[in-house]
Amino acid sequence: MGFSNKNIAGSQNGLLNFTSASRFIYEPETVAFLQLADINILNDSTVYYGGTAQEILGSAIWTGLNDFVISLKTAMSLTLGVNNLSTKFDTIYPFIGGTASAHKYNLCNPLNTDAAYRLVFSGGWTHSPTGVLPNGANGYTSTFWDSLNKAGDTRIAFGGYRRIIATAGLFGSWDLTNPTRLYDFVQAAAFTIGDLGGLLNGAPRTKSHAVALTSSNIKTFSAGVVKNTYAVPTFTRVAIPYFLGARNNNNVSINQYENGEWSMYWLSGAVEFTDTQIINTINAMDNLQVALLRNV
Amino acid sequence: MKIALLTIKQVRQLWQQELAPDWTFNPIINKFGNVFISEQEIAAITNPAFDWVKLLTLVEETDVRPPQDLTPPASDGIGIVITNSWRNGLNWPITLNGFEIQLKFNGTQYYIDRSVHQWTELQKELDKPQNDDFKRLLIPFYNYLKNTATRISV
Repeated sequence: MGFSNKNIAGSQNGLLNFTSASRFIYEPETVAFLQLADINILNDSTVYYGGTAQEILGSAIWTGLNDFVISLKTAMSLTLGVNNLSTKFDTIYPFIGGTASAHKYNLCNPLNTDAAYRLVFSGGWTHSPTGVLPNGANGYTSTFWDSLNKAGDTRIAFGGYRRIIATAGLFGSWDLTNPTRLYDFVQAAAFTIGDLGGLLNGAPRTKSHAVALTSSNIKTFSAGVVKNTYAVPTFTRVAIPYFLGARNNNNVSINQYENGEWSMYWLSGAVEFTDTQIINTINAMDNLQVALLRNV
Repeated sequence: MKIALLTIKQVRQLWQQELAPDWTFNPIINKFGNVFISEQEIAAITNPAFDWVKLLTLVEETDVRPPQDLTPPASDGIGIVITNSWRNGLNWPITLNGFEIQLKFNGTQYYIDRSVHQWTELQKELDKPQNDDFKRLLIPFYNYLKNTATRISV
């Protein structure tokens, strides 16, 4: 059953975003996303120390995700209370809700369309309150996002929260079987987002990681710091939809299926982030997982 | 991980079909040429059109062996004549688990290729315990092929 603003006591005309004192409560992206993900705010949850992600219900999820959105907007100097996250991020997949139908939505534009980069899952996945887990054999999902149309020639950032490391999939969305893979691509000056897009920052291999390409360099981030800096590689933009869980092999085949669990994934699009913005983003991601009791 | 092996017909039925909202099947070929779907896909099925998929047998992926080669060996130019009694007494083509022995006709005589009679893969299939009954039925025919039948050039 879908959530309705009319269910909120004291809420008039569905104005869920504001109190009578006009203090922001819920960001518009939070409201739109969690309504579509069918997370009912009235399902109150009592969180105990040592609890699990399965015990986190409506109101705690609303609070956790909203704090995350506010943190991102603050980091990006965006105005609160306005639907503007999409000016900085093309996609943010929070993987909240425990089902494919909830996990598919893009927080920045929660519509059920390819143009909104909602996911369509295919093959073997396990959906749970902790995130999405491809099976490493035939599970993948297309973001419908491609670098040709959405990334800049020297601007792209992307990252995610890895809850379980992958032991398969060299060219999947996150390469953890070969600790030099991303670095090889960088040093070989052939880092192609959308085809061989990968993420790796070394230990810690779980939690939040990010990669940012700018006009001056490429950097990898994790654990709240810049991990490595490289010279700008040749950056080839391609019309190849970016997959999670496997490699989109030039739209010809799908291979390199991976088997690590994601609790979040994001792509910036053609926006250049500062180091501080990236670090604040991955810190916000880490904090959200703590709030949802699914951090590692 | 467990998987369910699919026939070509089943692959066509499942290809890019929605097993549940926002989730499609992804039949995939393994290194041995077997096409399969995963246990995760089967567990997630809510589309009643694919309830039959839930009845497929799950096997460990690591237990899957290379598929049998069902291609009959090429003719060596020799045929074995099939008399009317054998032609009428057996159901042609003779089939067993995908193997097939075709009855051929050269304009005057019915025959099978000698190479098929010497088909090693088919012999291995016949030797499996579950095919004992079928093998017993075929013994008289095989004895005819081996001892009595006329060889011709084809």
